[in-house]
Amino acid sequence: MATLQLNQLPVPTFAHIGVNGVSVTVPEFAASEAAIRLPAGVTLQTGAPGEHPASAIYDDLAQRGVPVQIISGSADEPVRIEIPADSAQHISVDIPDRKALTVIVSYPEAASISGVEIHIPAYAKCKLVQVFHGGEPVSDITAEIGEQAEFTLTQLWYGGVKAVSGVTANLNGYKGSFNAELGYLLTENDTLDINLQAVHNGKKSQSEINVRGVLRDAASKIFRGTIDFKTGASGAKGAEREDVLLLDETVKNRTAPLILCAEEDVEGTHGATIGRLDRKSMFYLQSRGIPEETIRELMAQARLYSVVKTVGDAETEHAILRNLGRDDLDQAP
Amino acid sequence: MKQKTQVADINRSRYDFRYDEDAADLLSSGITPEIIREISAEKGDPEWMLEFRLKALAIFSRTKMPVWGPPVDGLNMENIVTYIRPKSRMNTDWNDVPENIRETFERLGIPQAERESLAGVGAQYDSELVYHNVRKEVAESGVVYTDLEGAMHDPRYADMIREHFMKLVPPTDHKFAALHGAVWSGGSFVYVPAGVHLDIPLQSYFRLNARGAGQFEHTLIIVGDNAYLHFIEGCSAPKYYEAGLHAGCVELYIGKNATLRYSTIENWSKNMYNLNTKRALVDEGGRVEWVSGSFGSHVSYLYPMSILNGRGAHAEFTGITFAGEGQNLDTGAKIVHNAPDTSSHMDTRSISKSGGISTFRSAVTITEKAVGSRSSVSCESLMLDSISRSDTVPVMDIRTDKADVGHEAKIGRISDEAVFYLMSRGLDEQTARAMIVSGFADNVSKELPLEYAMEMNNLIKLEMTGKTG
Repeated sequence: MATLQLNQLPVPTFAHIGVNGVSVTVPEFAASEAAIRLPAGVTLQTGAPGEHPASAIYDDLAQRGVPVQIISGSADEPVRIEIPADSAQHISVDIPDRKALTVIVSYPEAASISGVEIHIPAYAKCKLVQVFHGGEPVSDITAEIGEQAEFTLTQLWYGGVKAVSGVTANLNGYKGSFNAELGYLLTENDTLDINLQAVHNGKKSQSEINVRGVLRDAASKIFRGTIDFKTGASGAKGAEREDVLLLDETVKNRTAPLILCAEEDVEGTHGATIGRLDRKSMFYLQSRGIPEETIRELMAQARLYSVVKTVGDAETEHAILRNLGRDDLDQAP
Repeated sequence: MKQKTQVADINRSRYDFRYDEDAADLLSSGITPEIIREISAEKGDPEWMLEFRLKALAIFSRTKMPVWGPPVDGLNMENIVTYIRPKSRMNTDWNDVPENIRETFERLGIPQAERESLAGVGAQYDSELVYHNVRKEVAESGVVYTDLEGAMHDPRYADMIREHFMKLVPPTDHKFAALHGAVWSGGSFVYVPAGVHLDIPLQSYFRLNARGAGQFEHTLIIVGDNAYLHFIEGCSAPKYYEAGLHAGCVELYIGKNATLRYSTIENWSKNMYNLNTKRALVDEGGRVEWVSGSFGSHVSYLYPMSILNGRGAHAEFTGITFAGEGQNLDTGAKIVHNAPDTSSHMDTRSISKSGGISTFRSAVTITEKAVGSRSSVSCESLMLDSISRSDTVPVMDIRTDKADVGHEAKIGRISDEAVFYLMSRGLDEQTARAMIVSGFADNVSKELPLEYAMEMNNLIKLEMTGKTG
């Protein structure tokens, strides 16, 4: 078993709030390869662990000797990865200049630890979709984004999950962009610990982070979202927004939206709205004969559904809606 | 080529004067039980206070430094003089105050402010109060405004002091609260009886003159049910090369449906470490209003905290921080909603220039008991160059679904579009830029009495140059 200090807040704050980081104990998983479906034009190689992003997860994977599965190329069809249960994975995605690739990663209803590093050179595009349906995933994403490159991230957590997730998007190039849509529906005793950082190094780089979530029952969540403007990132813009719907009195929500700034000529904004169902909306729906619990369920799913729609892959959306018991929302032709 | 907007540093010339201290008046530097006993003996503390000080020292010795916040490596407690014997006892007439001390406060405008616009004044010079007075009609209304140590010995107030002293901010709270508990000296006690509405503010002013010294005043304010008080606090020190330390403590108790406005203009010199702790406990229907301007110090840790402990209690925090060269100012506020239907609002601004570092740090906690509570936080930061730094580190901790919390923050520079708009309305560029920056700092100045707003604007003293094309 390894104990890792993860999701460290880049600027620590009052210790008693408990958001400066999380201590995670990870079992010694046997090495196993992810199930990867490659479209034409994309190759897979296995390499030895070498230089890796600075993160406790990659250090741990390297110490375990977990090989790096290197995905290279571009295609219109997505790469589909299924992380096996009780496994440790190190995946690297390399996209050629001016090309594009979508990668969809599904996580098991079991434990796993994985690191995905993404290299997006000049004018290239990458869309990464992560779907966490139950389980105890410990996940890290590190993306290096070049000049006028684009990185789009969609993450979804639902279905009984105890998850730890770290994302670092390094916007290194001129006009590089990072867009993230995160959604979670946590119930019962689910826990979710997120640390997301958009690091602006490049001039006129842009980031936009939207997080929408629902907490029910005794669910607990920490979201740390950091927009970090480094010196030299003049003209950069970063925006972050979190909307959290709290549906039961035993939930626990902690939010730490940071803006760090070492450059004058930037624009950074963040906003967070945390609270209950709007009473007028509730009254309106009840006046139409809908029971209160049904309204809560509908509102919770609607919030997650708004993020599901950003996946952009019918097969994945269909699977999510089926798991949520909402085939009626599936718009597959 | 565009010229940058120029904003002058804080004009400190008014505060950078000093008088040499007599070495015989200085206790040895450092923190030891012997020094604590010496301080306590100088003051004639009751036995319980000596025991309290010694326990606080033990807590200080075993408590670690916080793992967050600006570095305080330049502060060596072994070199800090924690107590300076006063040249005179406390006076109620400025004419009885020693000449150099009186001149000090006259240059700072305190006696004049007292004559013109205050209900009472306390003036502390180094470790002790040298002047304390309250208007006759204010005293006749039952308001008590006196030095805390005198109140501790006064049979009318001794029990009240003992009941409240460092209960809201116990020595175990953090390392510098423990230090304060061990070496505190000076400060004021205010009691406003139930139903009394004091229209004119009371003010305390703290002046640290000695080199390499610390000031550890304690302010204890109790506002009775349905009462009103505006309390103003000011501070300054001349600049030395040696580090100085301010580890004061403010404890505020606000009764049912009472209101306390606590305004501070902090202007310590740039050798000072300002590690101050302020906390308010608000009862049902009560209000606390913090108005805070932070302009001085080399390093600041300053987070006034409000605990909303009664139904319908309310807290407001309005603040501005100006971090210039050599300054690392870590300021903000903490609010705990611990009762139903409580509400809070934070509105803060910060300006960073010439390598200054400004950090806004906040914590809003809504406990399970705070059903129906609402909180909003707004933070804006203005960066004036790329060698400075501005960080926003807010946290929200919410433990009930029946609450509404909103937070927003933004950071940027002076907008050329805004300047162009104002110029298109007939203003010249200098006036346009001055208007924008004045407006940026306006959230605090409009909450202060006029004289203090002018003082604050004098501190900033804006020079604006720049062209849009």
